[in-house]
Amino acid sequence: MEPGDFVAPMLAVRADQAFSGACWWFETKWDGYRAVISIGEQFHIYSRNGQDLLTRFPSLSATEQMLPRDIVLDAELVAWVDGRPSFADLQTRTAATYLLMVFDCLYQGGRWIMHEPWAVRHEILRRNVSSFGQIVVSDGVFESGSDFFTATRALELEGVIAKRRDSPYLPGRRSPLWQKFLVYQTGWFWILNASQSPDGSWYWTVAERDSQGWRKVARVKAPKGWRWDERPVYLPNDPRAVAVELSYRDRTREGQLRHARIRRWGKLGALSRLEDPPSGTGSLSQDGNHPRGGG
Amino acid sequence: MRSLFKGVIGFGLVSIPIQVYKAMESERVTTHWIHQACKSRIQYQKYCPVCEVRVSSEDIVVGAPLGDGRYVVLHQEERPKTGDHTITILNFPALKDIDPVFWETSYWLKPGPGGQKAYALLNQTMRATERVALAEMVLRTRRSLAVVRSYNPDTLMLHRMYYPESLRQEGVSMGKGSLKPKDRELEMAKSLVEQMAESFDPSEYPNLARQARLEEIDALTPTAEMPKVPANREVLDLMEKLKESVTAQRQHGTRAGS
Repeated sequence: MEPGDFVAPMLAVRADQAFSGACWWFETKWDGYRAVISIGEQFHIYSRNGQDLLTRFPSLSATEQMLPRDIVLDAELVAWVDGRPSFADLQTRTAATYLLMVFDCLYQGGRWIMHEPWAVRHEILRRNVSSFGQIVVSDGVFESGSDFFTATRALELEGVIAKRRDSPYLPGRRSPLWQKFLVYQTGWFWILNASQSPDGSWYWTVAERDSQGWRKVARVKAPKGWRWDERPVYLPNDPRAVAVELSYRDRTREGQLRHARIRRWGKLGALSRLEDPPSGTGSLSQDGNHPRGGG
Repeated sequence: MRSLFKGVIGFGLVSIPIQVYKAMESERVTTHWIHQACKSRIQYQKYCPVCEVRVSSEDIVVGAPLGDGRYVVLHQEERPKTGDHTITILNFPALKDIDPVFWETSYWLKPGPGGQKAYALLNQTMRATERVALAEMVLRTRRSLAVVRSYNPDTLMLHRMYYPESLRQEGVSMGKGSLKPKDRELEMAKSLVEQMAESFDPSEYPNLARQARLEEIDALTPTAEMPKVPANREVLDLMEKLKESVTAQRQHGTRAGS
């Protein structure tokens, strides 16, 4: 394996609740696409699955000038809109600005350093990469994970990643050495109906299906420019059925989603063509809902 | 127009709910200092030249100089609670007895819900008696003297006043020692003044400098530029905010969210 090659990124397990601890580092979980920046003889930015992000986001090519030679970095690509990450604008590629939030270094100084503890890799990252232009070195805090989570929730960011300071980088592995606590959960649902408010904007009635049948879980404003040109089909597994991925804070006791926002949506038939499909979308289950693991 | 605050005029046993609005627009055309290169607004940093460090707000205290180089550090005053906006009428002097030197800032008063009747009564009464109300008021953190007066048959106005101590006494006798004019000179000057006597019409005296400035800005509009704010800066500020918030929680000893 050489710099310039793809390295499958290390993944985090989900923690039930926020925690603190002296041997942990806590940083923001940015809401975007995982991006592995690999610079050797060639310059590549790979998605989580090893696809080329540069063809989809050509403006990222400019970052080559801002980074040292022969380095491999782990990062999250975010669309930056109105002072915060917007996953929806990343999906539709409608943001004016895309940023690479860099948080780990896998190769530097002519050698792979994935076996080194996180603290050493982080130090190397900070010494070799600085925030400039579209490159941002992601920051965080030691020890105070619960407080960091409280601050993250107050700013309505997606969540927090906790990393053990002594953890090696385990490519492609989902490891408890990295844990995430989420402010927002995500899930896939079905569009059951749409209605137009007096001011002309469209709202979707979003539902899930359980053993008792359909259950409405949220009413969300339809994406800009969406018009009802075709009545949605509710039948799961029908390629014309429209699925929507929502992020939401939590659920009421009745199962309603609180603070629901659209992440992405599409006809079932088109979803499998997404460049970064959510785990599980490929095999939408019979009951019409399909939990996803998330990044 | 947004009201500065809601308050109550206390007049004996009656209280009149009101909303306070700034009456005067600044005469200056708004301008900012911006960095020529990127058109961003420049920022001020609090800097200690002795320690050569940026000073954060929690390390800043208020000190009063004693005049001999020493300082006493003052205890920070608690901000008065926002419910506490009271304008208490003290008495009713005649307007001509208040020297204009004490006028500071003018505010419109709008009757609050349920206050229309008492508001109109106070307005009409002051018009009929040709009196104004001297009051003590709290605006933001400041306690000041104020005058409430009838601006027209519909509307009351509030004038924040300087306290008498603010008047620099050494100026009072600056005109002393001038020569007594002769009777003939006084007569001549009086007839000149009478010839030039006119009523005051504010619209005859527009702010020409301001108009010229606005025209200049208008003419330059095609060259306007957006500040080049790197998104980068916004993220760095956001991350800084997260860290500051963690530091603040640590200091308060809370472990919320755990």
